[in-house]
Amino acid sequence: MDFELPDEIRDFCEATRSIVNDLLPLERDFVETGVVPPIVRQTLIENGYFGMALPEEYGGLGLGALAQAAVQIELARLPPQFWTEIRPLMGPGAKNIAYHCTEAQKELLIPGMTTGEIPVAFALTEPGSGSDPGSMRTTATRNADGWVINGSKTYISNGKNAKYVTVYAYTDKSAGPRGGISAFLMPADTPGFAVTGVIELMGTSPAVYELTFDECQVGPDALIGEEGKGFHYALECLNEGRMNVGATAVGMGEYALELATEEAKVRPAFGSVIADFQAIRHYLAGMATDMRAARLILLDAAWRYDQGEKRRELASMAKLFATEAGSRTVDTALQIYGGAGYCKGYAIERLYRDIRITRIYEGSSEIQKNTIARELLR
Amino acid sequence: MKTLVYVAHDNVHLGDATLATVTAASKLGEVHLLVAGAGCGAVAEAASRIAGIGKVHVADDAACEHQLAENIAPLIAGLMTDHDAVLFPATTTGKNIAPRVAALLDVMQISDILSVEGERTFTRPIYAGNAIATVESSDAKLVITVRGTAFDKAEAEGGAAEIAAVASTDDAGKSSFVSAELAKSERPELTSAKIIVSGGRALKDSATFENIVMPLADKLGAGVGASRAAVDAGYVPNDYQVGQTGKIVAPEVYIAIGISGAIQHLAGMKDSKTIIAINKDEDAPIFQVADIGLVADLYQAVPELTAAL
Amino acid sequence: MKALVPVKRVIDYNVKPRVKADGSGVDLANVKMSMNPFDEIAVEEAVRLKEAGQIDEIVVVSIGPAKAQETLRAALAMGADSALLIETEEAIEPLAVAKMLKAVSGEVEPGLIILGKQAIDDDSNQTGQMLAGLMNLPQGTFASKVELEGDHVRVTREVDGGLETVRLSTPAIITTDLRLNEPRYASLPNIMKAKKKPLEIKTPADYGVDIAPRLKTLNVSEPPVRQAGVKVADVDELIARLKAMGVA
Repeated sequence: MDFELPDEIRDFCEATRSIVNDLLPLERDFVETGVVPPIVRQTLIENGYFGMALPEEYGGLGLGALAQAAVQIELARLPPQFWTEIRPLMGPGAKNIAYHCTEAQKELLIPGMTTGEIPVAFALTEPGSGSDPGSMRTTATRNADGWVINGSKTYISNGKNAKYVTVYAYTDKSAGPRGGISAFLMPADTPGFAVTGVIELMGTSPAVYELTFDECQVGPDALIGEEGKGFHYALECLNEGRMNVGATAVGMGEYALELATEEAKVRPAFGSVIADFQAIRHYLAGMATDMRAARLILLDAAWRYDQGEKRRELASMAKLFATEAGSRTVDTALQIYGGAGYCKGYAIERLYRDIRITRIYEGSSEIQKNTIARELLR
Repeated sequence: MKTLVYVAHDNVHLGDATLATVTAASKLGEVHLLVAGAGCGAVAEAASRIAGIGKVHVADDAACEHQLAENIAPLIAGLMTDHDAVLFPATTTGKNIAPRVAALLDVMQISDILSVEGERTFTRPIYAGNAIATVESSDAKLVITVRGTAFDKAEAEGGAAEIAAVASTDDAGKSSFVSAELAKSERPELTSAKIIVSGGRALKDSATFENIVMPLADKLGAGVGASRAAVDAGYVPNDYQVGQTGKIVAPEVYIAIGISGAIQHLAGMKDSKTIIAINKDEDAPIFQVADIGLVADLYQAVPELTAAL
Repeated sequence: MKALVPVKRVIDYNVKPRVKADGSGVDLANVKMSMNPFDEIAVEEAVRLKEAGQIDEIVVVSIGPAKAQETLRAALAMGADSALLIETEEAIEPLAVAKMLKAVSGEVEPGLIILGKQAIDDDSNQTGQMLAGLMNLPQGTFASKVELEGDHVRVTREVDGGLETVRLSTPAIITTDLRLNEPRYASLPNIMKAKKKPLEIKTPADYGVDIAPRLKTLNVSEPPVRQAGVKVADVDELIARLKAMGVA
């Protein structure tokens, strides 16, 4: 049994850490201006991050789940706005394209996705159907020219900048989600498509968007893969999306632990430093144990996934534990910082807001438990 | 033991760093000097007046004019038949030549010594000054560079040593001097300044550095230094840099303005007699080494200080 | 023309070294190790010269423990073409390193040998100059600019008073200073490519170099700690203290 990361992945992590350390000081500019300095995106593109999960034959790197998770742990130290554009390139949206698009579609999209020239949005969630995508109302109706899409989507990352949107819509409501939902690749300049809402978020994450599809006519070749398989396609990549969010929480939690440990060692109180007090020491011990367990459960799930053991509950457990442990750790880190942790400009304050969403998106903690229980009781 | 000290100079003036090196050498035994240059008679004269030295060897030759290591190293290696140790000031010139001499003599050099503990035993900083190693040489000859701030300066006057010409080796023909672009400054040179005013990254840009740091330095007649962060950010040229990767200084008074006190900076100035720090952040590590600290906004405090002096 | 770039695996720049309690050295157990920062600059410079079409091939070499393969892989990921590890668990002094590098140069026949000016562990600042002495080659130390001009190289050097420019015939030895360049990151695709580049492993015995140390380290200790002084309340109090010291 070997718990060491493979050399190559360790090299990825080290390279990523040095990039992250160099980009972190730009957070101040970002906080002051609200704009991510363009060098951030450029650096991530130049160094291969946009293409991590995309297939090698189209210019990507084709990294496995373990490598992606390890790299994401490092990237997660940066404000989410710095790296959030990569998320759809690693998650189900990109995988739908990589696994099920035609050669022509892939050649059209993937090289541009790796260079950042073709941003893509993944539009599954609808108002009122967050954890229950089967209840979606968007439809695609066949006509002589292909398909006509009608409906709306919400909480869509990248929705505003995307050049292409992968849309999930019922093509046959009577067949139910499994068999009735299909996936489409729609250019963002299709008449009738509009960004109709901007939803500002609690964290430093960029806004997410509400998209409206009003009689959007797409050609017959817009269908991704087979008709009626859309729900299946969306679900088959859930594990990867969940591990990615788990990795984000591990990265944020580990960063908070590091910051809190350093703070405890230098923060004076009652003629000593706070690290000398047992209350603080026990906090740190608990946080460190939590984060170690989170890292191990996550990397184990990712490694097994790469070995072909794609059991859904492993990814769910990893996401559940990592996001809950990460959140506890960030919360306690803020407590150790005291008032300073509640002030803008301290990384802890940012982490406290940003880690909150990891317990919600890509399946809330409650949904993860349902999945774990279902597999247990099968 | 017979030692040879390499004299730092620019063919006109004798460099201050020579004097501390003489002190280090005198702890080993008899001290001879070598002045290698061209038209460097005045330097040889000055060298001969240093107290307590035996003899000044002078290689006054065109091949030595720019003290190129390719030409100087064989000259020194030749002189080592009559000497047991050669000591260089740890200036960029000394650091350039000394290892080449060591290689020619098949000797392992001892760099940047802080003290002489015995005939063959010395202390020297390692890990950016985070540790001090005591090392003992087993080589027949010693090749040493000396940290100037670690030794008192020998008296520059009082001696009357014999000056003897030595033949230079020929130009090796492998390298040539093209040009020098030396910073011209009315202010004292950093490594010999009694007072240094240093600025850090908090100075924001080169204009601010100029407006805040320079007037104070001029009032005090001080040399001007900077942290690596300030140099990296382009506020001032690299020869202002104080720190492990820049100059090692130990003035009477070191005033650090807007410098947080990274390890690498502290390594370059922590031997200063009195350290004064002005910084907005009361937790800045610089305050852990400062004798006098002022927690204040430098944009107010420094002009106020300058005006009041 | 080929470039040879020696690289050393050292304690990471950001790690504060801890002296061992028994005075035998610095504790390196479980400490993050990286490529010596000045060597990174050397690799970067070679890669830039290659990108400019002035160098055809870059060979990197390290003398050190098996783990130094990681350092060599990092250099390969930056753009070097092949790597050589001379594996030894012993601490090798600069003089012996220079002797081995001379032997390696005999095989590689580089037009330029670019080294970091010093390693941040022993801070010797010797290897490049020693290698130049042993090989009787010209040296451009503490370089802040390197320009290849046919069979010569023009090197701008960081010297105490400012900058100095020298012109050297090739083959030549260059040692790097901080401002020469800003090393690139090892990008993810280049890390993957580096895995496929050749990395040869030899031992000091293969070069017949005597690596017995000439210096014996008797003790390693913490530097004297400077005590924090007082904080003054305002500029007036600072001036009063300066006056008391005779400074103002």
